[in-house]
Amino acid sequence: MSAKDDQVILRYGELAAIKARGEATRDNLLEMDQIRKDLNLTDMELIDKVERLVKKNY
Amino acid sequence: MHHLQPQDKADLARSGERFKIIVPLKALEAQCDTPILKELFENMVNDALRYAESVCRFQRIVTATAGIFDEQGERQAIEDVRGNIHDSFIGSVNILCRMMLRSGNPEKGSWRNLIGEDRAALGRFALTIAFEYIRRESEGGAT
Repeated sequence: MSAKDDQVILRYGELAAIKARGEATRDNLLEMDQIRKDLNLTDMELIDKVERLVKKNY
Repeated sequence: MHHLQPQDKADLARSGERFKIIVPLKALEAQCDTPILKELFENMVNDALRYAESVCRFQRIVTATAGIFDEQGERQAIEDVRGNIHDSFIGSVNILCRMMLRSGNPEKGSWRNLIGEDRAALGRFALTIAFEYIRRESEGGAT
């Protein structure tokens, strides 16, 4: 994964947190969908990658 | 960026790629069996999710700018927001624990001792809760 991919994955983490709070807009959900398509990863795979990145840097 | 002690870094590295679950979310939720405890639990989870969002945003911006962004105090502003959310989460944890202890069963508040008072540890607890909750919500609703 490149630094650019890491940025996209972290953005997915932001959106997933917003969605879990029940505050996601239609645009937020569309953006999540687009990220899954662009990276060809499932929701859970992306969440795993977000946690890995956050933990590595935290 | 948070500055962890070398020992904390080593412990984190050893514990794998996911945050170590100190108190399972489901077990904690099950103990919140009154309307006020349920509300306080939801507040704590909400703050944990806001904290996770702020951490992701901060790391994304650091990655995008190779860690050199500081125009007009942008880094400090983002750090301040994250710090405020962190404070809010710690408050939520402490209020929930206090109310659980007052519920008549002292065992209910014992989970708080497992986390400790260290700010970094409370931050990791917030992230652990947030990721547990996000996974649970994702499994519950197809995306």
